[in-house]
Amino acid sequence: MSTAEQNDSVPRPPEADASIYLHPHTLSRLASFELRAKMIVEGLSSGQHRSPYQGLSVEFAQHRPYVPGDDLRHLDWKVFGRTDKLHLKQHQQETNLDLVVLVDASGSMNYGSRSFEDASGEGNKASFDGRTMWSKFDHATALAAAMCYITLRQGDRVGLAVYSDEVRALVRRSSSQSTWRQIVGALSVHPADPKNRGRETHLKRTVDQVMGKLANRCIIAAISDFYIGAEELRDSLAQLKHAGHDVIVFQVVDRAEEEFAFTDSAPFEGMEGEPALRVDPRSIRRAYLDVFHAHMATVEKLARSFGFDYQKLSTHDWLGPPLASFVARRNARIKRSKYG
Amino acid sequence: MFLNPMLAAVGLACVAVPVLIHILMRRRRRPVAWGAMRFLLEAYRRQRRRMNLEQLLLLFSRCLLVALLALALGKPILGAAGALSAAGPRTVYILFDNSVATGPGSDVSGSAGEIEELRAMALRSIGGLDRARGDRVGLILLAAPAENAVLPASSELSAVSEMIKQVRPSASRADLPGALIQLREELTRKDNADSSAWVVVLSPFRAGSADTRTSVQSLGLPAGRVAFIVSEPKEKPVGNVSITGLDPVRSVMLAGEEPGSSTSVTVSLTRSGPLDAETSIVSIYAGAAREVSTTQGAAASISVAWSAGQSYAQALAGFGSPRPARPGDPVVLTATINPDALSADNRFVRPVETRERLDVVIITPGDVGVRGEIANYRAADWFALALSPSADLSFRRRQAGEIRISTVDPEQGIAPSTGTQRASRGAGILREADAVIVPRPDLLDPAAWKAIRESNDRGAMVLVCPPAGPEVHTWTDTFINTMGLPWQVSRESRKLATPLSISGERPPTSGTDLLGVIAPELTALVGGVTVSRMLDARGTQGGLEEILRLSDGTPILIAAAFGESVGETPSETGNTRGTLLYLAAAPDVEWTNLPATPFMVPLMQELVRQGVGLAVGSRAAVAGVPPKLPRGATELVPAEGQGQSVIPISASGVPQIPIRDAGLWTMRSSGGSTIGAVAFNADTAGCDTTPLTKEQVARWLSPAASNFTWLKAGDPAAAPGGVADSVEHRLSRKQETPPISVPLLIAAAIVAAVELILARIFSHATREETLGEQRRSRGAA
Repeated sequence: MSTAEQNDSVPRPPEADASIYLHPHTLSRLASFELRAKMIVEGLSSGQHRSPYQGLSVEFAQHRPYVPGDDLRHLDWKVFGRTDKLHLKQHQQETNLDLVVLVDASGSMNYGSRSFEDASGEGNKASFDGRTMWSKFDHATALAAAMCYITLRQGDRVGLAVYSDEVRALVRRSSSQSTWRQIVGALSVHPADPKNRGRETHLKRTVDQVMGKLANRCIIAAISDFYIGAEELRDSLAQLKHAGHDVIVFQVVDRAEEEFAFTDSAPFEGMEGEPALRVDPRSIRRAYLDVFHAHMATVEKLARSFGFDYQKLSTHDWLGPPLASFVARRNARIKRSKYG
Repeated sequence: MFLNPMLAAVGLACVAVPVLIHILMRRRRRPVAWGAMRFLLEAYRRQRRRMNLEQLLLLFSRCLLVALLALALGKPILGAAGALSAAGPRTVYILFDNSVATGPGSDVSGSAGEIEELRAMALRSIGGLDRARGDRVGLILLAAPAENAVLPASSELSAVSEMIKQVRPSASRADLPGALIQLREELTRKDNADSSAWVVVLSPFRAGSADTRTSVQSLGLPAGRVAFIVSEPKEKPVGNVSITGLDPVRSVMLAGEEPGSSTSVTVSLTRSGPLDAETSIVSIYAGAAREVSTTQGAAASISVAWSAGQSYAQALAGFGSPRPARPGDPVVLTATINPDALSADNRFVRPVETRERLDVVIITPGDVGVRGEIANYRAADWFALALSPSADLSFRRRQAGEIRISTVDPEQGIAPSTGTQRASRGAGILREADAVIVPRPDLLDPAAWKAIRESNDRGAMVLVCPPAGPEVHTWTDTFINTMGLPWQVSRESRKLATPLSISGERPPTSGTDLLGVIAPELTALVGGVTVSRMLDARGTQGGLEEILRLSDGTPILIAAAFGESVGETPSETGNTRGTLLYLAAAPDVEWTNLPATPFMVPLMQELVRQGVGLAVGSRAAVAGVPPKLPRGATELVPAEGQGQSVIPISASGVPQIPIRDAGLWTMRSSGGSTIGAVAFNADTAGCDTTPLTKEQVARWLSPAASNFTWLKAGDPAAAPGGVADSVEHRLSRKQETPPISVPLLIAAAIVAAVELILARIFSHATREETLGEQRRSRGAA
């Protein structure tokens, strides 16, 4: 098990501290993450004859127990004959198939208009820290956890970086089971934490820092609302493309941000240090939506212009369907590139 | 100005409410944490100008809405009807008609007259005011000239009421234009410039009290500052006959006339109202100044039959010549008619001057007398003979007749007194003369002309004719200049190619007809009279009056304007200048055969008798109109015991206190001697009872009061308080009306509708509804 590497400027979250690792609070949170990841993954494979999570390599590495949904073609019938147990043959993971997940923990990711009770799927009315709204960061962490869980379960190496204006928490790539705990701890660097509140997004700096840790080509999943300038996004994606990485752009937005259906003339207060603005939302709605959707289109256009995958996620939607379609599309692409 | 100023003030202060609400709501709203703030700021940057404009429009419309509601509640005074604040002290100016038209009559409103009805309305008007509230009342009496009775307005309401109770109808016409001028001066006084007022005009508004031919001037005040309440015109037609003139045939009655001689008078009557066929009985009384009572028997009584539609009539009456109480005292003629609508104009008084005899001075060298042969007669002799035809021209006879003839020799000097030198004897004679005849003007020096001018200014008649001898006349310039005549008299006599006769047709006269008595026989009298030489005189229009013409139209006998000043304004002379005559032909056989014809005697007799009468002091005046009194008169003394005091006369010959009542006055000089009598009679122009319509009165008053309220005396709405209750009624009716200004309320409703539309447009409510529908449809799916 690798040890979670924390940025020196960010205090270590309590969940990452080994001495309090078994603290009930941490455990409950861990269970939540684990359960959430399981539910997402099982939801994806339920009713399918062919699991989408087969190995991404052709070199045999080891066996692993069969779980419902796995592709029967990968069953090692010889082992079944000798031991009467179902095992799947796992192939050696290639170095360029490491997954590095970048999770945006800036101030804007703390926004959410969906109730926690509705989004968590567990009947909890509030989070462990009392939040009643399901934020974009919650959605991003669920997605990151799901992806990491899947990857780890397949024996692939997973790394994680939580960032805002710079990398706030980093988990080195590893396929060991202890990595899961480190990932859980790193994802606990929630923007609702007063120490992280109001931090701006600085993707370029984050990419620079992460690129310094990566020697081989990886699959980089960037999960953010990407409320940054188009130039900065272009530069960051270009840098990753130049290094040969494959990038998956997950843009997380909230439905309220997409619709801007406010009627009350309450002042709007920026979550990343922007000045407050008192305006009648009804009168500015059209202009806002124009600007917002133009930015969304720009992000997608930039991602696709570099040949990267782009997936928009809404906090009001379940993660399963978009994640499944994403994995399916990705597998098909890999298959085309490897065997086509 | 508002009827509810407090409400308006509070309401206007409420204009700040939308702003305050906006500010308070800004403070109370909890801020919304917003993740996509960068897009919101960008959108705001793009839309800032439009949104600010929308917000300002909305704020303005809401503030305007509140302001309009406030103004509507305050009820601004937009028209004249609301000039008086219901809350503040009120100022009421009563313009009270006490003219002759409001006087007592027999069939208008009983014996009391319409003034009692107006008085009751005025008293009730004051009774409705409250001294404790600060109400004030002003009073202007309309009898001409309009009298400032209580101005500035007084808070002593009871005192003004008492004053109104004492008001009596006068004999002058109503002078509403003059009253409005006084009112304007009062309302534009510095300390009164901003206050509003009610003006209550109380008048019967018949044709006599509202002369629609004259114009009423605007008050020149801002609209809404003055509210007029005007009594409705009396529309009931009533008939009225007025005596407009009583003119004796002779302006001067001579005491020396023989007993049994008769006097003739002309009575002029006018009629107004229904011009039905009727009969007026005119009674004429004659007596001394202190015997003008009509209780004695009438000297004459005549009946005037009016035909339908006839409005003017004249009648001639003759009666025995009255005798004055003392020689020189005036005789008073009084005409009355049977009672009708107005009694003030049923009596007309005319004093007639009496003289023991007339003093005529002939300025001629030597004495006058009978010369035997016609060729030996001089002009002076012919004049003397004509004026005293029955005498033998001896000095004793000349002094004993009705016309006393004296002579003054110009060669002995006729010089008026100066600061250092006494007047000559001749000047002294001229000063006492009733008539001065100048047959030899070529012999007069400037001093003599000056003495003649003084005599003429005092009222003496002056007759000038050219001398018979010379053909070149150098005296004419001095004559014209000294006498102040706008004439041109030739310097050379003109011999006519053929002798011309005097025309029997007389030119029209503008004044009293000097030859009126002999007019019927004039054609016969002038027969055979010819003129063969003359010294022409011409004059400007209005400064010369032709009395006799030749057959070719050339004037032979001319006069300056009778009784009027010549070339000078009346105020400078007191309008007492005597008649000035110019005979263009010398009474000499070389010039004309006039002196030798029978026409010479009646001509000179009439010229002297009538000419002297025109300038004497006795006269009839009109009440309310400044009379033109003779120079030398310094005070007026009531002759009938009217209970009035002596009225001084100004240097311009006008009484210093206007005389509005009918009555007889005697004029006194500064030395205390009586110099004549003057009778003030009712202004018959104000006695016209022709009814006027409301439209006529409204049009007449429109320059001063474009919007006013009619007040009907018998209006049940006004009863029992009359005008006062009516004023209160107007106010209370104001309060009964919706306590809000309807036009402003409508404007507020329009603004509210506009505000709603703007708010809906600016809030994009349609899009919200669409969004809501989308949500609902999505939820259903």
